Amino acid sequence: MAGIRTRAKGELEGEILRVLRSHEAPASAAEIQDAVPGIRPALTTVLTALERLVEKGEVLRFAESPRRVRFQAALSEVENASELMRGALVGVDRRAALLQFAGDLADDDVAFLRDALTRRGKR
Amino acid sequence: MIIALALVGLTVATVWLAPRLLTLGHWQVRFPRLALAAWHAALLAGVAALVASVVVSVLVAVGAAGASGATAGTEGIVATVAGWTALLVVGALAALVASRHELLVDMQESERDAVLAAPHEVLATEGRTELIVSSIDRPFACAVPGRSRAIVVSAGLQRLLSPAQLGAVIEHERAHLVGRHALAVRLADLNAACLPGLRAPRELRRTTRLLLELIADDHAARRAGAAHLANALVRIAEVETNPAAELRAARLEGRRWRPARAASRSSVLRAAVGAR
Repeated sequence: MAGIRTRAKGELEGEILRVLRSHEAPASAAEIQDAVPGIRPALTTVLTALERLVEKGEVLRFAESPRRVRFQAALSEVENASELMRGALVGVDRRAALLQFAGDLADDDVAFLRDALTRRGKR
Repeated sequence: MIIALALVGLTVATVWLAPRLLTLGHWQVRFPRLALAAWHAALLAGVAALVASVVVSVLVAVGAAGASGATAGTEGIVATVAGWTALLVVGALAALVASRHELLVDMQESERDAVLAAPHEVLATEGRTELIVSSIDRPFACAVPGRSRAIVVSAGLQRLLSPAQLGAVIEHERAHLVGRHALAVRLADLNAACLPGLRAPRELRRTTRLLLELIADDHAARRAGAAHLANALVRIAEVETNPAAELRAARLEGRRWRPARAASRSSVLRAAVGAR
């Protein structure tokens, strides 16, 4: 069947992204293969497209084990990309605008906290 | 004229001195509320001195223009130029602040959209605040400020923690909303975005976040139990490498806490996750 194009160039990638975005949990390649609308693509085709998406940073890859690899859309990163770039230009670094419960504090903060707590422990 | 210069000097002194004075010692960790107030008071003092210097130089210029018939000397010209320059600077600053503010609002909104993009359900509502459980697998919780206030916890976090621990996390996020912590973050971020490269704004921005977490920790510890909150932090630090969470737990454990007040245990939001 080689040589017969069933999709336009890049179309599968777009469809895979849509599938992943509607998927709440990370999905395996086989699940994506079943969920893609239209003609069922070969698994290797899906994997190639996924690989390209991972390279582009649009999809995150989770390898729980070599035989259990899952994929998830990197939605927020993509959506934030333009703002992030603008932010980087004016010195607003990638510290979350929303307050997260266990969000990463800066290394300086960690050092400061550690210092404060060990001092108090000694006293 | 001299007054205006003195005020500019005061602004510079605040910018230079505040971070140096405020980072002395470790009292901030013990008294995060007081520390945050001191930091933001320094910020306001700096801004106020700047505004006052502009107002004074404009007034001097107006005075000089009004009396120009009498004193058309060089002094009048200097004052007029200084006044107009000050006004120009204020205009440019206002434009800068507005554009940076818009950028920050955009960033926050896209982040909120990203958090709520995953399928989620509203577990409970208390006043204007919704408790939302998102199907995200990563242990995660955050407070979403604004008109549609929400506390978002992930399904992953729900699985990881006991109901009492999750209740403490919710109380922590609630402290962010009730205390309008987003406002302090916005102020510090705006200041840093308008003055890139300077030490004071960067320190203010960093310290504001740290202190707000400690303030919310203290609030949650009082209302939902310090042990539950510390255990939640330890659990999270176990699954995600997070030294800050570990240290926050150690900080809570190193202090004496009165048992959580019975009256404060009635939060609808905490009840929704079955925490007592």
